[in-house]
Amino acid sequence: MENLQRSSDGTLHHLLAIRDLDKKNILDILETAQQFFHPNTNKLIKNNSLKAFTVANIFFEPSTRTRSTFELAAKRLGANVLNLSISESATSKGESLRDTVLNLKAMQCEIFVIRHPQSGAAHFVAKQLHGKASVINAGDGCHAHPTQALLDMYTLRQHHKKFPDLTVAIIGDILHSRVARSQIEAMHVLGFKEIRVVGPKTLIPKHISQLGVKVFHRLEDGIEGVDVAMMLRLQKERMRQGLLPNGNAFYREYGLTQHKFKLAHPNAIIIHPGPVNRGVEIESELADSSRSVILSQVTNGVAIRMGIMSKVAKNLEGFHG
Amino acid sequence: MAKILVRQATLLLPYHSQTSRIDIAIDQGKVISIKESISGFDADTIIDAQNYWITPKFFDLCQRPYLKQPQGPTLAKELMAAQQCGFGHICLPPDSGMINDRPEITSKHFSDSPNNIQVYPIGALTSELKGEQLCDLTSLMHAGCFAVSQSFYNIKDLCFLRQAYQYAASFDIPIIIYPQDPWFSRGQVHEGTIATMLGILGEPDISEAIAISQHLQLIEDTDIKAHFTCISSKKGLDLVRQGKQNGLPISCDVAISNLFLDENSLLNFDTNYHVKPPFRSNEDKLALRQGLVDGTIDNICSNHCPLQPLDKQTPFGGSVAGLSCIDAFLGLGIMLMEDGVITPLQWVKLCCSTEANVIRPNQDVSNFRTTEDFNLIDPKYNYFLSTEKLTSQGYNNPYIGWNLRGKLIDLKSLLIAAQ
Repeated sequence: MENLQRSSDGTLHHLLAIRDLDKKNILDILETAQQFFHPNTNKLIKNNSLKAFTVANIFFEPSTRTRSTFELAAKRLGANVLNLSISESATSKGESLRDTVLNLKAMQCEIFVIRHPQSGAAHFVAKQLHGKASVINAGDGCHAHPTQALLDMYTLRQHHKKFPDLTVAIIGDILHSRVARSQIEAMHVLGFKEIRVVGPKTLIPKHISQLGVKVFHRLEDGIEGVDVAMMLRLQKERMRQGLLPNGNAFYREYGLTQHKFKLAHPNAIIIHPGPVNRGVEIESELADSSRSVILSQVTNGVAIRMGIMSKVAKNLEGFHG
Repeated sequence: MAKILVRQATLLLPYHSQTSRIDIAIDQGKVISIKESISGFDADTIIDAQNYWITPKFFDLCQRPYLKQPQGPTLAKELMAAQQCGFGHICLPPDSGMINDRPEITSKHFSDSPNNIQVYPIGALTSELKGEQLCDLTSLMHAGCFAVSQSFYNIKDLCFLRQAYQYAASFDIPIIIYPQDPWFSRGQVHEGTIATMLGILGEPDISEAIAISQHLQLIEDTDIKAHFTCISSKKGLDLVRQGKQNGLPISCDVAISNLFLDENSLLNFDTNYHVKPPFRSNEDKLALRQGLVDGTIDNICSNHCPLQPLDKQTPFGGSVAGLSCIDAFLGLGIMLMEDGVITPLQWVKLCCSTEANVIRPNQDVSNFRTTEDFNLIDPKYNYFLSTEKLTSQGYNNPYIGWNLRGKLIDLKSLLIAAQ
């Protein structure tokens, strides 16, 4: 099977999904991200390594965190940034995604950050560019969100000394979650101790145990003794009818409360890709507690995205790293 | 004009227990004689066919040229391409281009088709395939349809469906069923491990199983003859097997690509593997192959659906389902034989005859009157399928680059060259 992500010499050309990366690749990305934090102040540094480049942020779905952090990451590396959202673009006038991408390539954009509602969109864009530019998947349908998984791994490594020997529970709407799929792939590659998914059967893919995870349908069972609770929001924009009852049934059964979190390891932490729906998947006070490292994730996201852009840009002419 | 003598080819006929060696004498494109040995025929060209096969033309129970004019292929061009790939009899589903729900559409299929290939239009069971109003089925049959179908537009109202089958059975009109539960039909790939990894909505195998179960009940209740086309799953096949054992008037076929490809083809989101029904698990693929051996499956069809670049040059979810495969049909058949799944005689039964079917649109495929009634095949010819070699205008051929065997000897060109 063709490996789109890597150049012939094995270096990262695109970042489309975690599953084609090995442990060395992932740790390398984490190390690269770490270099963008000042060792003394822990503030994010700037450089001009991408001064010669234009980064096109092409977002076909709404986004606050991801789009902002990609833009900040690119600017901190000195790149020119073009932000394109679907409501403003020609695609709302019927131009195909392929034509949109080829036009942007003709404008000499070198790095394409793409978020799209269809699974496989980032792969599609990468194939259209024929190696002449790099693609970073910012989330495609329910398939993958590799940068989110990488920043999550970075955050876990930051907060857990025994990383990656951790037991993790991913809780909530796994069925529609590209974040969950990428997290599972990353944790497998890194050799996590145990990966659990927790949710009702209607929100867990039937064959997910084939991906090497343990399935729980009761939160109390799934969260027992875990080192990390990875919370997911309900992706109602992708849901069909009949997956859940109305009202607060989901919060009652699967919402993470301070009381239920006591079943986890005493040092367990909580992460969430955002946006957080307080009172739906997590108790509001718990989301703000010291056990929640959600805001660390946001900071780390800038560094990870800086790291990935630096890596893919190395393959492109004009990089001064 | 030219006379050709084909010497000592191996004749493969469906439902014959063994092969035989024959000579064929051809004059001006017409078959003059077929015998064990022909003497006294003054041929312009003699073909040493000791290593060749003679078979009837392929009989395809499902080809759907996606006739999107003006940029798409025409029916005539695709049928000519099919003829060049060894097909002589093509069944056109009711949604091949215009919906075949009126006799004038049926007539148009005949008038648009070249003379050297026989088309068998399948009529629509309901008007515009909407599942609301029964078509005038006998008019469609009088216009030349040999069966009726809802194609993939499965009817949700089973009471209505039962009535439709009762009406069709009144006139002994058979039904062709694409077994797919209408509520599961939004799935684009097989619901399995790969769909889970890729985050694509899957269609579970129970979609096919539920549809077949319901139809078996209706078939028994209404006495209609039914053919299940493009079976894709072990569960579905097991139900058909059970239905046959229970004496129901049913038959079934499988699309050739489902014997070779499975869900693992999808890992790079290649839209050429977006098909209906979807490629299922390796276990399903092996079960389908077993179905060829034990006789549960009566025919192999192509499920050929030539599409244009615009239909496939999108992310996976936005692409049109279908693949182009008539150019690989012979090669894939030979591969099945080389894999030891079927023998050459079983292959011609599965690909050239509908005698086992309940629909049986044509029963006389072994009467070779002209060069257009049979295939002369070099089964050992080795090649890589390339875009330059394609006869179909379909852009969506997943077999490009495959190493295949088997070549049709173009007798027409030999006849012209010899003149």
